[in-house]
Amino acid sequence: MLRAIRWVIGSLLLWQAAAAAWSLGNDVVAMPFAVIRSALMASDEERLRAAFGEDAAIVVALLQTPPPSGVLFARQVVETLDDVRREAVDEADLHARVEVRIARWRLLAKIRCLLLATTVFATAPDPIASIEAAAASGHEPWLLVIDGDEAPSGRPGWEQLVSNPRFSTWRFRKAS
Amino acid sequence: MAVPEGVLSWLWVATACVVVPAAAGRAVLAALGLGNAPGAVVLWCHGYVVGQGMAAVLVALWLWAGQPVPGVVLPFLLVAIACCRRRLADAPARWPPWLRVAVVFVVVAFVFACLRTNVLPIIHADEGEMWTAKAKVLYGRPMGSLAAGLPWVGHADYPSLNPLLQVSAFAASGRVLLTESRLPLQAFGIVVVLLLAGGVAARTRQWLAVAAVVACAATLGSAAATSAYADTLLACTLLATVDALVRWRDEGDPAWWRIACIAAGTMLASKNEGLMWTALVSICACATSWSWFRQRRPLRRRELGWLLVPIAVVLAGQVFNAVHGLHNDLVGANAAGRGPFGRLLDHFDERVPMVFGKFGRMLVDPAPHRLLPALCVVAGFVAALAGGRRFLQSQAALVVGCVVGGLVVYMTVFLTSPSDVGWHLAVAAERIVEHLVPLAAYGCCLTIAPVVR
Repeated sequence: MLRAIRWVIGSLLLWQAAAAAWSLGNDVVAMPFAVIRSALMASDEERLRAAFGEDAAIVVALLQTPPPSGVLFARQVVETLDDVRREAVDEADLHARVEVRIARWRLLAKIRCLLLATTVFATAPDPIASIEAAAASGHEPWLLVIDGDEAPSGRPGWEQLVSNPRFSTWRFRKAS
Repeated sequence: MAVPEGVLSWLWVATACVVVPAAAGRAVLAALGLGNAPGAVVLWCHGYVVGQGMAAVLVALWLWAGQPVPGVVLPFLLVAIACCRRRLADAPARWPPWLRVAVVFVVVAFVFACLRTNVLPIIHADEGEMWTAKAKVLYGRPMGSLAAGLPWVGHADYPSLNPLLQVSAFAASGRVLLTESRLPLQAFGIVVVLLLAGGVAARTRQWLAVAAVVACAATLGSAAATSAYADTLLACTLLATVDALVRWRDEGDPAWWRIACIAAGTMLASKNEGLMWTALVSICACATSWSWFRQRRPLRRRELGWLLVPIAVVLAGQVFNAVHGLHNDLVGANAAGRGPFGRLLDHFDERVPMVFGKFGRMLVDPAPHRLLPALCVVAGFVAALAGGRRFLQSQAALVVGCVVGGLVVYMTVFLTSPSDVGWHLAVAAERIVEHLVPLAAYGCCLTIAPVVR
């Protein structure tokens, strides 16, 4: 009896192994050569472009020229689901608006992860005010303005560093 | 035609952070008194675990000293250790032919899975927001200013082997890498397969060894195994610890005891679950070894000193967390001030069906590798019925005991979770059960068709 049970268990294991071999083999055979080439040969910039799409320009610029102060601010996603619901005209619009905010939240998280070696990437409901307040205590964080955010254009003390249709970076210097 | 920069970077990280630590670890194994009999593959795999533990210590000291020399010096220090080894040819692996074929197949499949992952840089999920984030903070900021970066790291209190191995890649390359720092961690995926094959090659029938290795390898196709998570690291160091203990009991060579202690140290440094596994392996080893121990008296008192390795690893982690004010949310109190035991009592009725339901569904999920823990438990039960008291003193009892204990403790962890348990189960249950899949495969081989040595 016990011997028979052992054979059943062994057979189940063989079936698992066969299923695993089939699945692993399929994955190998189905892998396009372009993936192998890209995994081995792509430059950092190409990998970032593959991961971020149009937003790659933001991280490439920030990786190449991180803020000397080591601190960067951007606008936080502050709207609650109720806020978005009030703005939405119908269910499809609500869905689209939520997707936009999730995409932005994900983008900010990815940028934070990429910059962490040199830069603390903080978010605030009103980053312009946060940076102006920080400047009062001698700090000089930069501001990242992503498509649609309020830019500090025309405000005294602000200087634009990078200008791109998708984003811009800004520095604030307190008047001496 | 010029070699693309990306390829050169991969080759350099593979050499400096995979091959060199393995060679240094192999040299340490020889220094610990291990001969060449286990065969090249087993020796190099255990050497990889020991060598990466050593590399992590070296990197930690380098960071603590304020990076006094360029990071590229670190692999050369490991080369110097590797060169100290007595030159004796390793015995070739005496594996059955179909097992060799199976191992080559699953290693190739795993390499392809890693290539698929490596198309994208490390930017999100646990690998980006926890492990690589901590590596970037450790590498990019002087030791005195870690406080500015650690609050931005998810679970900065978690053990540091994974981040330190990624720092070793950064240090060897002289810059923060976006993708290549996965390599020393991905190599643990290959090592775990080879360790499993080496462990079962002479202990079971060929067909069963092949089936166990291939079924287990399906785990490695999952995203957690090919990315810079610490789960494969834990699975590999757990298997290395148990395999070294089993070999010590088989052969009586105290070098295997020393290696088991070092492997346990690397396991403790890989994830918090390492502490639970160390306790479980110790309990199961003591419970199944007492008569063997009484007959052979294999440990001299000074050999017990090797237990200081895992103890030192735990203390180092605790000191780091204490200095930087880091706390573990799983063992600490939640917002309501309830600790793990209080949470267990508070939510027992509502969580038991969820946790048992999830684990039950996973254990009978016919997807590849899912059945391994269940098969191991059933096979262990059958072997216990057939073997009686003799089984309780066997190597199989040690391994099956660890698998059963691991499942019970993991379920208990979910019962005490400070988070929403439905969410916690959804994001973590399948991944953490993979920790014990290689051990379960090992247990299946020792119980279903063992070969008497």
